[in-house]
Amino acid sequence: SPCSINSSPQYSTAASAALQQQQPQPVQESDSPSSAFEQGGADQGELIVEESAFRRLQHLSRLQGGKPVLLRVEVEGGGCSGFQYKFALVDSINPDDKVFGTGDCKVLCDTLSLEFLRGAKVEFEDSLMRSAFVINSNPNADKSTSCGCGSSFSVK
Amino acid sequence: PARPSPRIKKQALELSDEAAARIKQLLEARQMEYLRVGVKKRGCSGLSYTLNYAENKGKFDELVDSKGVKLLIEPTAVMHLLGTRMNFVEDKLKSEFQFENPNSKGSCGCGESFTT
Repeated sequence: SPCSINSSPQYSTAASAALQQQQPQPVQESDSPSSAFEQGGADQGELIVEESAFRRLQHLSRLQGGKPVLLRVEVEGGGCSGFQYKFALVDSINPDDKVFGTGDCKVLCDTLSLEFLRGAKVEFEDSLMRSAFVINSNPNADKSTSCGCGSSFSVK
Repeated sequence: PARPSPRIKKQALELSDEAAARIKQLLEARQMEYLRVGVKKRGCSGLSYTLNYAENKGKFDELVDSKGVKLLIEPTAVMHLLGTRMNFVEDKLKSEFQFENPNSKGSCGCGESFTT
């Protein structure tokens, strides 16, 4: 499905490249409504998957001998600020999932969670203290009342 | 021959094997002598841990020499960290240092922030 918005060719695997070649190539000078819609969707704030997150997923895929890797991002109640982010590696895509990314490495987000994540960035943060998937710059989170740890937030 | 008192041998901070291995790897990669642990006022529970590389031992830094790695504790952090066990946990989604701190009276669900 053509719902990837942030993926640049740098992190598409050989498999995904092959897959893309099978798909009909868009006419070059077309301004079809569908592509315009995709652009608009990105601007209005879908979940933004940063390259660091895709790189990490690809790394995990390689560790598993090239098996596809699906990362589910969820928002659930809890944490010190009311809501918290949850990450999980899963095996299947649910009907109400929005899928980000092409190829073997995809990020999934159900429509309910996506309401809290529009415009937010999924990154893989690599620091001295920890390496982890994180949500950064979430426009829906109130910075002044959210937790400093970044795993919990309150809604604006 | 008198054995050294265990009280003197006791380190201010205890390292798990995993934490020691990770610190060794970090220090070797950066060609650094020490990793310095500190605390700063931040987070929902008041304090959070900090980690930095260090080339030299500060005058009042507490040295922890354990399992082949050298760790420094900032003078201001010693009272908060005494008796803490530093661990390193790793899975596919994240890897991080964790602190089991007996001084901690309350902590945030995230594990990063605590009060003493």
